[in-house]
Amino acid sequence: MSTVAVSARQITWQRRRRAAAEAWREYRRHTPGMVGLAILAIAVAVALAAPLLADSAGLHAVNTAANPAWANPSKFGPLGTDHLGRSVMTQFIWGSRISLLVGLAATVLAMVVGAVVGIAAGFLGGWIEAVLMRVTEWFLVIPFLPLAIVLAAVLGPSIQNIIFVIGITSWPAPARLIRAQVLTLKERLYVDRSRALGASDWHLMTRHVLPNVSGLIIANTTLTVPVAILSETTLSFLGLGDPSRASWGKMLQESFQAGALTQQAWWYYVPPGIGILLVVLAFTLCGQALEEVLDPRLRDRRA
Amino acid sequence: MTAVPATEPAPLLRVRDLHVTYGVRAGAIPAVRGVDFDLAVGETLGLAGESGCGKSSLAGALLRLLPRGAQVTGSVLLDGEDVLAMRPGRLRAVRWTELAIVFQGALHTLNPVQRIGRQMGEAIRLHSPAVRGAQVSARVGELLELVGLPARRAQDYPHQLSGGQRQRVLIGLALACEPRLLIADEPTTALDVMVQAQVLRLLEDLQQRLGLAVVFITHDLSTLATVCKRIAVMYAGRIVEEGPSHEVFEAPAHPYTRALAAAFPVIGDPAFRMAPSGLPGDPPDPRELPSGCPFRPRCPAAVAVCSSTAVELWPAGPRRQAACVHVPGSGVAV
Amino acid sequence: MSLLGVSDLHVTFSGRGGVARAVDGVDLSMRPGEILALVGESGCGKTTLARTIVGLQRPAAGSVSLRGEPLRYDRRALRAHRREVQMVFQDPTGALNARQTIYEAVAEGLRIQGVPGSEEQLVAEALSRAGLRPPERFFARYPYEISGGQRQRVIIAGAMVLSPSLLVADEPVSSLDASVRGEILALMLRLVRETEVAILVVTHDLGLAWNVADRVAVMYLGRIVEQGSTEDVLTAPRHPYTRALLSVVPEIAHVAPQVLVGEAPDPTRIPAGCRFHPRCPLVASGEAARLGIEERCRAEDLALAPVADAADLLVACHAVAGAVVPA
Repeated sequence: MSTVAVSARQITWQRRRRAAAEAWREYRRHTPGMVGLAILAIAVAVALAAPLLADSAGLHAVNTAANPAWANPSKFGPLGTDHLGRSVMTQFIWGSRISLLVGLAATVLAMVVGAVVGIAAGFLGGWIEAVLMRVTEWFLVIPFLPLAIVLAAVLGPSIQNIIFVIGITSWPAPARLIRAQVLTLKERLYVDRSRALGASDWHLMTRHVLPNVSGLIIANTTLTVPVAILSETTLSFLGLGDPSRASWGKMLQESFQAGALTQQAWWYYVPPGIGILLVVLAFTLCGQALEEVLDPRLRDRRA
Repeated sequence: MTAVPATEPAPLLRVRDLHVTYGVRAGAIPAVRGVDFDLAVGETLGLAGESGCGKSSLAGALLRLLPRGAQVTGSVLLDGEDVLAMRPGRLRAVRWTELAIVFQGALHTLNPVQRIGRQMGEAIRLHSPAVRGAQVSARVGELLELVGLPARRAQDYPHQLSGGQRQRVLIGLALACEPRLLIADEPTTALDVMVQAQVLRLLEDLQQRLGLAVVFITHDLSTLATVCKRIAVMYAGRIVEEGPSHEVFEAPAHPYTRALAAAFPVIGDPAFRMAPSGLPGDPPDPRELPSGCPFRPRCPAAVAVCSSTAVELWPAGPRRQAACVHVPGSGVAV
Repeated sequence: MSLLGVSDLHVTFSGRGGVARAVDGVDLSMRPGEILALVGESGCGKTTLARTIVGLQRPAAGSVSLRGEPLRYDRRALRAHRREVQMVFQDPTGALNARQTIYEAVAEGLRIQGVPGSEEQLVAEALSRAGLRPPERFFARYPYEISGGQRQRVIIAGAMVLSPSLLVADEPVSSLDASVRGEILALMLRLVRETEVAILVVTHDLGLAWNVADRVAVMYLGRIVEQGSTEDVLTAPRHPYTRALLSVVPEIAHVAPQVLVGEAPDPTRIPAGCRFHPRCPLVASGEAARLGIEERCRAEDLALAPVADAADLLVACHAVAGAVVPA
C-alpha cells in the first residue's frame, strides 16, 4: 500500500519533469528563440552583477579632470561620459536593472490581475462578468500616456509607482484574451464531469481552467514584458521616472535635454537605445518560440 | 490475387495492390497494406472497418486527396486509366466529374459563412466555366430537389439546416457534376436512426435512378448489409473478408467479421439479451503488427499456426474470400 | 423500494426562437440494480433529462428525488447528491482533462468529496474493477496514450470509485468502435451484478437497449411515449413512434421499414394535441380517421396510461385502448 503511495505521486512528478525536459529540447531547436534567450541571459546577468561590474559611485560623479564631460569613448571608458562627466557605461549597466525590474514587475502585476479578472469573468458569468468587463473596458479605453502622466504626477515619481502605473494600464488586454479562452473552456466536457463529481467553482477554476489557460498566459507574458519596458522608457523619458535612479529611459531623457544630439555625443543616446531594442527583441523571440513549443505539443497530445 | 471471371464486363474501378504509408521521420505508418477490389458500373460495395483499419486513407487515396506526407503506391484504374498516374490537369478534370466523395465528419466540411447555393454552385462553376448565372442556380435547384430538399434552401446557411439536411446537401454537392462513382465515407454515422434511414433510402434511390456506383464506408456492418450488394471488411490495412453482403453478414467466415456482426444485436433474438459481445483489446498499432495474422491477439479462434502463417485472401465459397487459416480454401493445416 | 423518482419534470431553455420545452412533463422511477434504457432521437430531451437527474441542470418545475427525498439545489445538497448519482459521458476523450494523468482523473472525485481511506488503494481498485489491469500501469499515463475504450473505462472507474447508487450513462458507447462496445456493455452488466448500482442508459441505439436493459422508456419531444419491460417495448411495441423506430433498425429485416417524413420538430414549437400526430403513420395513412380518433389526435394531449393486456407497459397513444386524457 505504501509502495503504491510512493509510486503514484512519484511517477506523476517524474512525468512532469520529463515533459519539461522535452519542452526544453523542443525549444532548443528553435534558433531565434535560443538567440533571444541568450540575450536575456546576458542582460539579466549584467543587471544582477551590476555592483561587481561598475562602481555605483560613478553615477554621481561630476565634472572633474578624471571625469571630463562629453568625453567620447576613445578618451574615457568603454562608452565615454555624459554632460556631467558620469560614465555612460556605469549608467548603462545600472540602468539595465531598472528597465528589467520594472518591465518584469509591471508585467507580473498586469498578468496576475488580468488572469484573475479574465478567469472570474469568463467562468462565473452573470453580473460578475458584466461588472468586470465594464471595468476592463473602462481601463482599456483610457489612453495610456495621459493616465500614466496623471497618476505619476499624483502619486509622485518612484519605481513602485511606475510599476503600478504600467501594471494597471496593461492588464485589460490579457484579461480579455483570457476571458475569451475561458469561455470556450468552460463548455468542455471535462468541466461538466468535474462538476458532476461535486466540484465547486473554485476547484473548477483552479484545477481545470487555469492550467489550460496557462499556455496563453505565458505566451502573453513574454509579449507584454517588452511593452512594459518600452512604457517605462517612455515615462522616464518624459521625466516621470525616479530621478535618483539610473535607467535607460532616463539616459535618453537626459541626453535629449543636455543636447547630446547637437554635441554629437552619440555614445550617450545610442547605447540605451540599442539596449532597449535588444531586450525587447529578445523577449519577443522567446515569446514566439514558447508559443510554438507549447501549443503544437498540446495539440498533438490531445489528438 | 483473385482471378476476375472473364465473363464479366470490365469494372468501372479496379484497385490493385494499393499501399498508403504516412510519414518517414518518426517511422513510417502503413495505413493501407495492399488492397485489391473491383467495382462494376452501378454496383454498391460496402467497406466495413473500425478506427485505424485504413478505410479513410483508402478513400482519400482513390481521389489522391491525402495530406502531403502520404505515399501511395499501386494502381487505381478508373475505366482503365490509372488515377495515381494522372497528371494534375487530368486529375482535376476527373475529380468530381467521374469520381466524387462525401467525407467523414462531413457535417463540418460545409463553409459556415457561405450560403448553400453558393457552395454547390462552386463545384459546377469549377468544372463547367461556360455555365453561368441563372443556369448555375437552376442546376443547384435541381440538385437540391434530387436529394429531397426544396430548391429555396439554396438561400440558407449551413447552420440553418439540421444534420440530416446537411448530409443531403453534401450528397447533392458530390453529385453536382454527375459522377459515375460516389465514395461515401461514414455518411450516416453521426445521424439518428430515423434520419439515417432517410439518407440511406436516398442513396439507394439515387443509385437506381442515376446508375451510380457507390463505395460505402462505415463501421456499421448492419447498415451495409441492407444497402450494398457486396461487402469487404478491413482490418489493419488489409481486406480480411469479401463477398455478397447478406452472406458475409449472416454467415461470416472471418472471426473479426463475426465479432463485428455480433456487435449489432438482432432485436427480438433472445440470444442477445443480457449478452453483449465484444472483442477484448484494441486494433493494432500499424507500426507494430503482430507476426502472422494481425488479428491473432484478439481472435477467439486463434491456433498455433496463426502466428507463423502469412495470411492472404483465400476462397471461402462461391465469390467469397476470407483471410483466415480456418477457411477451407486456405490450404493450411490447423 | 424506489431509488430514483422523477416527478412531473419540466426543463426549459429560452433562446432565440422562443422557449424550448426540452423536458415537458416526465415521470420516471428506478429500483436499485435495474438498468433502464432511455431511447429517443436527438432533440427529444433525453440528454437534458439525464443531466437534470445528475443535478447539472435545474428543472423549471417538478422534482428529482433520491429514495424519496427531493433534490434541493443548495451546495451541500448537490454535493451529497453527487455521491450517489454519477455520470458517464458520450465522448470519453473530451471528458478527460488532457493534462491530468489517469490517476488524477480517477482520484479527483475522491478528493472533492473528501472520501476517507487510502486514495491509492481506492483508485487501484476502481481501475481494476473497470477492467484496467494492472492498475498501476495506468497511473502515470495520460489520456492520449490509451485507446478510446480504455478512456471510457477510466471515466467509469472515476464514477464508480465513489460507490454511487445510480449511474447515468449518456451514450456510453456511441463514439467507440463496434467491437469494443460489447466489452463496455459487459462491464456495465458486471458492475450491476457486483454492486447493485442502477444504471440509466441514454441512447438512440435500440440494439443496445436489447442487449443490456431491463426496461425501456421511449422519448419524443420531451415526453415519454412508451415505457415498459424491454421484451414488451422492443418486440411488441404499441406506440406508432416506437414501431417506426424499430422498423428502420437495419438488423430487423422482417418488418417493412416505416421511414418517417421530415425531422423531429424542434422543442420550441410543440404541436397541439398528441405531439407526434404530424408525423404519425396512423394519421398519415388514414388509419386514425378510420378508428375515429383523428380529432383527438389533433386536439387532445395525453399522458402515459397502462395497457390492458400487458402488465407494466405504459403508452401514450389515442389508438391504444384505455388511453387516458389528462384533466
